[in-house]
Amino acid sequence: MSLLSLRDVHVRFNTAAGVVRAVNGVSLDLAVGETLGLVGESGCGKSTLGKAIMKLVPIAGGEILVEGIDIAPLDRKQLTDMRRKVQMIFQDPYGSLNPRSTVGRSVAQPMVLAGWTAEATATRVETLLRWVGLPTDAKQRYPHEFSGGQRQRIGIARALALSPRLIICDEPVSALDVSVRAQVINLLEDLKGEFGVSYLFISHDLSVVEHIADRVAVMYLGTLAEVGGRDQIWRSPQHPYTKALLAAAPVANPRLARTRPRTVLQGELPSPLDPPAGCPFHSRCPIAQDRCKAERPTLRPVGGGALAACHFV
Amino acid sequence: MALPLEVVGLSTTLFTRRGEMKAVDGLSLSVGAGETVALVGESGCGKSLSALSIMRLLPDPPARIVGGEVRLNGRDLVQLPEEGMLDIRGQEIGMIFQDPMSSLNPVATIEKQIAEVLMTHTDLGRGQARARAHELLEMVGMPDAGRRLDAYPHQLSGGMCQRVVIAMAIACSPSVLIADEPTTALDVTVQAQVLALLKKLQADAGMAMVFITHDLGVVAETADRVVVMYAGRKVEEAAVDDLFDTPLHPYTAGRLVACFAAERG
Amino acid sequence: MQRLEFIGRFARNRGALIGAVLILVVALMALLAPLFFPVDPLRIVGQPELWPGEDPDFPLGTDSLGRDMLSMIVHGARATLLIGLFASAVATLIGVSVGATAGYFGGWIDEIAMRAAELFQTIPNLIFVLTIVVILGSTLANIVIAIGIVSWTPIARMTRAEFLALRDREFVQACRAMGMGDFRIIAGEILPNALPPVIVLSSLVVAGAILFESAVSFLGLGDPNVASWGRLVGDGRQLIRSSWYICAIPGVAIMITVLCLNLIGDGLNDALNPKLRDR
Repeated sequence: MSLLSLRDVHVRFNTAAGVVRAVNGVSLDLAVGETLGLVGESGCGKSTLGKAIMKLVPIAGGEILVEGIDIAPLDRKQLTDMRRKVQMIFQDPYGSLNPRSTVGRSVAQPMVLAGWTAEATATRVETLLRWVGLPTDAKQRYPHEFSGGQRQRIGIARALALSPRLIICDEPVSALDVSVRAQVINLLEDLKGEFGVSYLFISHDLSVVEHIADRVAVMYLGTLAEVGGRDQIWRSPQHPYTKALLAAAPVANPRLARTRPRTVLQGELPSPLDPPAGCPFHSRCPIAQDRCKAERPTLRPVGGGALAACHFV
Repeated sequence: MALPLEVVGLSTTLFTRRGEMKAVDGLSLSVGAGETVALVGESGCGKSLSALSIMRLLPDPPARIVGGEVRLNGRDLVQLPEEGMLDIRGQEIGMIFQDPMSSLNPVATIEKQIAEVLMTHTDLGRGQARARAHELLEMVGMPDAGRRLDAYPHQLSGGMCQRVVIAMAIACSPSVLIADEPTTALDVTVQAQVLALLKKLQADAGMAMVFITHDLGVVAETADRVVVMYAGRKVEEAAVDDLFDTPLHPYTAGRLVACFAAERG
Repeated sequence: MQRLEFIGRFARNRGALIGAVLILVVALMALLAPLFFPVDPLRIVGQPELWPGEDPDFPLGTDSLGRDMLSMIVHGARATLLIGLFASAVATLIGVSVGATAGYFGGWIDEIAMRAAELFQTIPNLIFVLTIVVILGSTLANIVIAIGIVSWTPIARMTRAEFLALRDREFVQACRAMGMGDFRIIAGEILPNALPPVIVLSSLVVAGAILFESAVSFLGLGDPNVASWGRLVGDGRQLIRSSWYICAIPGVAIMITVLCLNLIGDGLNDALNPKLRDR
């Protein structure tokens, strides 16, 4: 059984300009102990999907199964069990901690909500801070006294508080300086080895995802373009969008950068208010044909264990 | 003949209540026509303040140039009176900023903003300026350029806004272009579009370009030479291939290791 | 540590420091009034209409009935400050509750709350207070509540704006992701971050409430058992041509207090929102 299973998940937002289909029929599985990278450009719905799993945004349709239980229809009180299993790390280490709460109070919150005793909570907080490599006197201090990387560690400690099975990492290193990034990534990997936690790792930074993910899902305009093993995707991407995305990422090697063939994706991302009919990518796709304008492709096996949503691969 | 841009011993100090801080400390660099020099360093290393010093756009107070020369085609800008700089900026040096949305005026149309640059520095009339603005938008690859002339910035995507900013920067065919993290706020596919565009424009016009970034991948893609800054000083300067092969300064090496670690795993 | 910084920033504003010291004096005066003047201030103790300085026993003179002005001012400080504080407390309580609910939940709740606030803003405040006092009776409690009811709308708006800005911040989302209930998020997480500007506003409402009460008392609708400064001004108004000091002395007291409260509000603003100033 998968730890997390998404079945045709939809998320819609009503805005003044119309209905935004932020997530438009996503189905995805995440196995125990796996790190699944979810990549895509801004506005593709990857963060919204992460929030949908945490039930932070209303779900318009589909099933979200956590260890086989559909959490989509549950209300806040019925979600207690799920909250214990699934937690989240946020992008902005400056914004994800209450500036007027001490670090100790922030990290203790999950235990307090779970009804732990004061001593048990205090012990746990110290353990957590030690795990993420912070001094225990961090408890009494306020978030503004810490650097970005340290704050992200505090966020990780809070997410680990009740020993979750799955942590949703929403761009956890995007706001950090490059040198700090590697430290936080390493910490996440160490914790995974130690506690067997799984990650849904949401990021627009391909190099980070390549580093940490076992499998990768590529999102475009609210739908999945391709899902597959990391090496499979990097070595032989199938979907034309995946190809374009990987080709667009700059490589830190000047000679390779000059010689490698480069297809720069033309055009602009269509508005999610008015997504194109048929394949969402057809308006920018180099291999699009008439069929793509009419018929929306579904994910199907394309070899190497990967799935891609394209009629012509 | 003098190089398009030669910076010699440029020093900029921040005068704050808590004391003086050397934000740029004796920076020297030169950029030839058609050449791209990348200015690299971590946030706070002084690379953006260097760019603002060259443009003489420093927030004064607290920042002030305390020494050095900025020679544009042989003429020292540091000694120039402010009125003289007005003619230089936009005409002889173009600048592109990191956040395209906030470098455009939200209540003016695209045409008006490009035309204003043109009419400030040339004798073009309203109609000619509009036609030239249209041309420029096509040059920067704006899809549907004719219709975008009357659009407002919020109606355009981040990538399109950056194209408009680039169009404004090259409107008067400057000999030097300073790009301060021009793609940091953009997605990878849009970043690739903008980088390709900048390279093409530079090759066509033979502009000298100073490219400020913290992303070594972008450096490898765009630069001919690299200047690495740390704590306000230049710690290394090398041709891009040499820098990536054999970094000399430990700071550069550290950055490359971190970069490769993130890239290779 | 943080508290020291706060005091330091507050004290850097000279006006606020002077205001705070003066208010402290007034407050002490109010607290210790029974010690200095154990006799009921409303008792007739001397000749009527003695000018200040005329009789050393009554340094501020006596009023038209021969009551000690100084004793009345000192005792009046008590009533005046209490009315100000309680009315501001009522306004803050209503304003923060309405604003927090509206800002946090948004949608139709916000819509209703803000329309209600607009309704209250369109009613002329003084007339509204007078109406309530006339209908419910001129007791201190009624006056306090009436002033509170007309003064809550700016606080509600301010609180709502703060909540709107804070409710989508990631630390609030993190709390939701933990399964924290709405009330706990509002009171325990967002409110402490929203309070600084609200506190500034509340301190200004204290000043406004004192002025309101003075107006009500001046018009003769104050609580007859309480000698607030406003009532002293009102009592003296018939003699304003001959013995104008009877009006002027409590009037100056009101003026100084309100001015000090405004200065304090200013200082609090500097101290609580340091970003606005340190530029």
